[in-house]
Amino acid sequence: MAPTLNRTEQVRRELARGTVELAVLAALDEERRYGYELMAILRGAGEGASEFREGTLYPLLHRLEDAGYIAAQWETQGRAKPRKYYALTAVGREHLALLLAEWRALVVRMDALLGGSREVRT
Amino acid sequence: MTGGPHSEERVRRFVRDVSAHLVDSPERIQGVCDELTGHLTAAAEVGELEDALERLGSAARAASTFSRDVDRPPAPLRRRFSAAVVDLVPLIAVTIVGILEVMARQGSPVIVFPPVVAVQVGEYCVSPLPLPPLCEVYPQASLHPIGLGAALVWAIPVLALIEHRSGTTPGKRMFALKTVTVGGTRVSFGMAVLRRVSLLAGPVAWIDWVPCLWGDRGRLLDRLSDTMVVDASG
Repeated sequence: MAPTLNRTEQVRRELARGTVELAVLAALDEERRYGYELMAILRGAGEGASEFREGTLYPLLHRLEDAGYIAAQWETQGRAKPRKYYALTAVGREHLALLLAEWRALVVRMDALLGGSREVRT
Repeated sequence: MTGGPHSEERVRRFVRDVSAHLVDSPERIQGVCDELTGHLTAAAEVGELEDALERLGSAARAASTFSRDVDRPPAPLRRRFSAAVVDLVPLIAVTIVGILEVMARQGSPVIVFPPVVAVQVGEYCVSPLPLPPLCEVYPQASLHPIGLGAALVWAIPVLALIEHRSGTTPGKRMFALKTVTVGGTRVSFGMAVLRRVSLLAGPVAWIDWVPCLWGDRGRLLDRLSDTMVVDASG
């Protein structure tokens, strides 16, 4: 029996929980971005990402800023109102490298684990 | 901006409602307003203002999203207690005078804090505490009706109003503490009153602090009013 939509959403949310920080830092690795831009990138990042909300993004951004991983800067750049841009700091880049390495190792380990057990089941 | 003046007005109104829920320094609040305005303006530019507003939810919820107080550490118990002593100076003073008077009359002190609120009406003793006969057990209860009344007005509605408006009280300010909702937003006047009503319960009020004995983050009434006292230093 297929799981209900609700349960699928719930599972997605749980699986995504640990990855949001990595996703945000990775999105900032290419270039500095402003809040709504990050929102659009993360919401467009595939299944389950449409669950992503401002209520997740901004507290995370502020926490990363407090931790010194990202820095914010207001810029006008030919606009009437200034925009708040977030950029990765040197410490943030180190942290991202660590997260990425851990993530890749985790994926490999999980693949090996799940690959083995799936053959038994199906 | 493609949303036009209508959405510009909506953004302005929503941001104003959100800022009303925040208790922080004017600079911090301005920072939140600017960031939120930028966010919603960017959403409106691509025709997604409705979606963004829906995701943000009510003004109170949006305020919680941008509040820096949610993650603040809970107030250390010692500082909280010291702040309470400062805030309750009038009540403590009235109690001491009461104790001295009873001592002068009976020769032995009767020490009860917070004082029992009771009024002698003819031969009856009226009190919110269902423990008769209060006026004999706690003779200080019937003393200083005006002094005690004034001290309680200060301790409950006046401090609640200050706490609602500024997010702190004189005592809490002295010890760098701040009272916010569990979402890190402004405490309503009603909830600010609720978290202080234990003072009407006489010595029974100490039950309110019992959860702190096993290291809980707050009093019973903090929990009941969905509020928390946080360390605002740093």
